[in-house]
Amino acid sequence: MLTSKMFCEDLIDLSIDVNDEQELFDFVGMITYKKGVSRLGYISSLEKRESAYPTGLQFPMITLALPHVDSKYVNKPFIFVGKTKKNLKIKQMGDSKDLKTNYFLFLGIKNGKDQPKLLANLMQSFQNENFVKEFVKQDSKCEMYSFLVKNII
Amino acid sequence: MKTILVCCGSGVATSPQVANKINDNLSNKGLDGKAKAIPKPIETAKSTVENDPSIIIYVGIAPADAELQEVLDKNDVFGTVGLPWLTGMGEEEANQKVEEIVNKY
Repeated sequence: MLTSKMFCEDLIDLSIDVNDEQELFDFVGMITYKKGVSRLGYISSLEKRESAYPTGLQFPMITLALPHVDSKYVNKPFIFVGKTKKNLKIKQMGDSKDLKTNYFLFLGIKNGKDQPKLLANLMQSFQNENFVKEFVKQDSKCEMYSFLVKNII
Repeated sequence: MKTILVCCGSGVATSPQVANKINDNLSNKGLDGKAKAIPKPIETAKSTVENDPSIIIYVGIAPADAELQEVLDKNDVFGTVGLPWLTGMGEEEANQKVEEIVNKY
């Protein structure tokens, strides 16, 4: 599956008003469940997974978290793009170092075989200075959706 | 042929991604005949290192814990973390370190 096909305008929210990651997980869990892309248990699985294996990554120009869960909680492949109004505390993948960000990409991965490709595409994009400069400028769902579909293969 | 063992903790398949990056660099430097990076689940790291003498480098997404570090030391395997290949920060240095070790063999 093409990474760009995993985006959906209804799964983008760029002004999420939450105070911590827990509230964010509840919020994203609710939307993805209503939309039919995640399954019951997605939220608690996110919490468990993120505390055991944090997903914060610090790129040269941007820090973001890529929360994800076992594919059994994913109904249809998706990527939820979230920007929170406040900076939230997250932990770095690997060493759990404290980081802060307001950018989150929730990866709903259904087919494990697609993972390396998906991840490679995202990593490549977020390492790219021009991509990040434009990414942070997008301030509506609609613009963000077109931007991602155009720029992520 | 020497082996670079790449293990990721989270199952997001960061390890194949990191292994691909390492292999790309090895082939760019003409070292792909000498060593190859292979992704494996973290649960198997200890037994793989103990049983496969071709392993010279261990790349974990998390730093090795005390038990794994002991196994690495005993088997003369260099341990490092995979984050530079994911984020691009410090990737050049990480590649250089890998090349340096591969070139020793």
